Amino acid sequence: MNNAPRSVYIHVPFCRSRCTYCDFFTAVCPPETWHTWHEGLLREIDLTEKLGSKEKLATVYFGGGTPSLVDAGMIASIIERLKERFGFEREIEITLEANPESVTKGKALIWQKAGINRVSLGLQSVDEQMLKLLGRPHTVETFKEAVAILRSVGILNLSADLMFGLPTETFSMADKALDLLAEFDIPHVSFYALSLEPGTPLFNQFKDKEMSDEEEKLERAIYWQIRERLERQGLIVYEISNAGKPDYFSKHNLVYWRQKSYFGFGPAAASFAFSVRRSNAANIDQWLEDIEGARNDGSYTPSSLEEVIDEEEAMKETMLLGLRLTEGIDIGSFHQRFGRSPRDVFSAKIKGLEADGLLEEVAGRIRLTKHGIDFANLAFAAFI
Amino acid sequence: MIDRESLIRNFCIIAHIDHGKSTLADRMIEHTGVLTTREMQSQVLDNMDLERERGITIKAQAVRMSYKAADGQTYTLNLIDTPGHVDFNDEVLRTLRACDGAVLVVDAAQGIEAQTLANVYLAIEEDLEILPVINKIDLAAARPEEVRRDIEDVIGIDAEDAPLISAKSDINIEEVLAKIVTHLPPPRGEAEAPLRALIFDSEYDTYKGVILHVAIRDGRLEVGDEIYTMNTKKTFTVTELGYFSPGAPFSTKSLEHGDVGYIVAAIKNVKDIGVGDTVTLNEKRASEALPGYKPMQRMVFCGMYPVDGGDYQDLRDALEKMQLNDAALSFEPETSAALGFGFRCGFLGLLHYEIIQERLEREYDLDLISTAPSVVYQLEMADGSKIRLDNPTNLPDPSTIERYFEPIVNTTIMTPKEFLGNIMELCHERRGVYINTEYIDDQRAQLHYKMPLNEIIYDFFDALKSRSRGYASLDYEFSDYAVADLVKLDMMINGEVVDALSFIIHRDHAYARGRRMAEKLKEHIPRQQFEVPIQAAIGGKIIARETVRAYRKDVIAKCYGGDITRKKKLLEKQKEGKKRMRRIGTVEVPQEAFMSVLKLDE
Repeated sequence: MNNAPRSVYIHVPFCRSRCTYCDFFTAVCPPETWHTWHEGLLREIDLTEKLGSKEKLATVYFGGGTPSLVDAGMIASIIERLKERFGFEREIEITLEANPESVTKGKALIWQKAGINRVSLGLQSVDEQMLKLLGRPHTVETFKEAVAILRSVGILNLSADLMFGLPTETFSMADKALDLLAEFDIPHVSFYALSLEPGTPLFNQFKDKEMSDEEEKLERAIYWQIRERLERQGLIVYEISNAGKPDYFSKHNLVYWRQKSYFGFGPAAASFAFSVRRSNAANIDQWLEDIEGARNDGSYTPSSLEEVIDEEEAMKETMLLGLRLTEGIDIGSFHQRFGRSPRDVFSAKIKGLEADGLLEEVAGRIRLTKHGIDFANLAFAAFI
Repeated sequence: MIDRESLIRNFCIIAHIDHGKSTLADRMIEHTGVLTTREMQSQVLDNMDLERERGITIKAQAVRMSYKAADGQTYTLNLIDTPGHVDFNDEVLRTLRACDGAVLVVDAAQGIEAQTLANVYLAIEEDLEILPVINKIDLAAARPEEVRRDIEDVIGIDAEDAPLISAKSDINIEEVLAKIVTHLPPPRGEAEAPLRALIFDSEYDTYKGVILHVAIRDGRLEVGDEIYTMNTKKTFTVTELGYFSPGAPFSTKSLEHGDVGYIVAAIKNVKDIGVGDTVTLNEKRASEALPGYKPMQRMVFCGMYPVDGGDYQDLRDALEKMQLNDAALSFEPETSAALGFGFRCGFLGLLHYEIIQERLEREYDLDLISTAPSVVYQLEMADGSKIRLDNPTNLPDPSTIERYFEPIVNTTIMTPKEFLGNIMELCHERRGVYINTEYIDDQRAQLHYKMPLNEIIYDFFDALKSRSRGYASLDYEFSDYAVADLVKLDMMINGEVVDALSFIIHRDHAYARGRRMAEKLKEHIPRQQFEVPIQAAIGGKIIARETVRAYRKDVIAKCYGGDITRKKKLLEKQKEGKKRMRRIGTVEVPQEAFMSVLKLDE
């Protein structure tokens, strides 16, 4: 497990406007700040030179914020720097999160040339009313245009984010969104239930309104409807909120779910490397200061330590993260990695969750039951 | 030559909560030069954090000051602080008996309150000279002249010369000190008589054992003397004597009549001595003990359980430690089907109960669930035997009970006249029997009721405050036991009786309370994966029902860009919440649910 990470997450903390539900570290900033960020990011990557061991990268992921907002040249130079430092595997997956309205032909060309081969588009909803509520600046039309542009430059591995469980949502809205995705043959979909995060405008708007029994039932029904339709459209639901055609699963996200290691660059980015989870300061100035500090004190990262993952914790995480996957946790692989079976390590817990109908063992794998998917937090929490 | 006792003044301060007693004490200490301001933490006398926060004194404290008066003589002023609450009446009485005079502090804006009045009357009964002082004269709302008239009219003492002060702003403190010397008498008692020392408090020290706080009434005492406690009948050898001084006490070879100080005598167990008892010399015993000894009377009982069953031993240790300093607290192990292992604890009253609970949580870092407080009932059984019942769970089969008796208290409520109607209504709701109304002045009245104690201990005090916009004050004392038509009310969660929620109540009130409890529980029990019925029952009869609806999901699939630590923290928080829950059958019930039923009148 002490092998160097083969994945990189890069946080681009800029947005054109802030969405009403978002609680990630992001800001609406003038382009000068983008430059400061860009230079800091290159310096942060350079810090890893101090590491003795390094592996070629298999996945890179630009998340945000809105990575599609900043100059495409910045993205290109970051990729170039990564390639210089680490080297790339032949089949590397490089994903960029994009908001439909900021995808232009010019940017798409540069992205493609730089090596971006997967774009995740924040569609969220096809209902104009809902998009307005979420504070999204795009329309369904801009989404269609973005898809066309990306395909025209040869970026074919596309994903769309859908949000459900929105206040006043109906079945037909989710249906319309799925119709659109089918029509455009989008090969990967992430579908997240809206969670109202304290501090966001949407939270403040709805905090006093508890979901009624009917609304809760509807939210779950829509979730299962989305899953069914995606499967019918030839996608495989491989994770609790993700579905893709074969060969289109997100390799980068699977790194998280399989408890593998990754670097994180940029303010607020999280990393898991050399058995340590860390995260960078969620503040650009502080992050830059920390990079300067790291340059002088011999450390390879400006991030602060969050958690040391010893073997026991690694086993727990393997369960907790692996349960998100439809395939669950492979008992054999677990045994191979830790020298013990999960049934021995977590005997009572697993039995308890099975008795509650949340877990099941199928073909040598432990996974959530259908009921368990609706109450996944209860199963996850058992491994905390 | 002046007698040494004529240079001593032993006094206490009587004041209502918030009227500035502790601040005045601080100022006196400052003015007598014992401590510099820098050394003095605000309100030296209120030692415990809790006391400082609530602004009340829980345990009596004493301090010795040295004051050079206008006559050129240096006087020893012993201030003995009185606890200021209804639950501690016995302690107040003991303090008063250790003094010869009392400084009565009255808030210039708020005037006299029920509590103050009760304590002043006690002081007058004990023959104490009263020095009235009007405090907070610098407040905008101050009406010192009215308050002065009040003191004269209501209490009937001369307030013509009452110093007008502000303890907070340090105005006229010197005048108070001067008046203590001129107005209050020196100690009574005889130098040549056999030793009689009143124990007015005690504290426990890990090295020295129990330290007795005493006022020497007659005779003298030296290190090495063998002492005899006249009521508990024990003998000890004195190893140390001393005086109280803010900061650190200082030791002395002897204590003389008129002195206030402490005795260390290798007393290991707090149960061996009783506060209020009289200490005399074993060889030369006094013929009669000083009045005032009364064994503790615990009026309120409840079960206390650790939220985390693993903390049981810690809770026991904490209770044992607290008992060393507070002989009024009692506890014995008890078991509840719902709450596991815990203790049945006995208290002087509701405030005592709240204070102990808060101290356990704060000073010992324990999370507790307590059951509804209960009074002590007396049951007359069909076979003629009598049973004392302090835990509703232990109620015998009702068909074997002939009659129920409940404790009744004499209640005094002082209130601005405009709230009289509200409060009388409240007292009647709580089965109070009206005695009379006394008008104190043109604004305020004092209501007298006989009330069942079990009606007061639930949430009477909060209700009283909310129906008088915080103005009414309450005082009560035990009167007698009376026959009552009582029943046991059980709460059922998902079909199971929760023993910790059972309580005994008057038949006429059972229906309404059962319904309100069911509603409260519904509010506080989180939704589960299935529907949970909540029922109230008397015997086998269901009298109220609510339902907690099932929840449909518990899943947040969002992933925060690989920030697994954050995700784990959120799950951990959720799990922590669960840890504070009790499982009753298959239902998770949070601590708050148990506590919520204690406050129904909101």
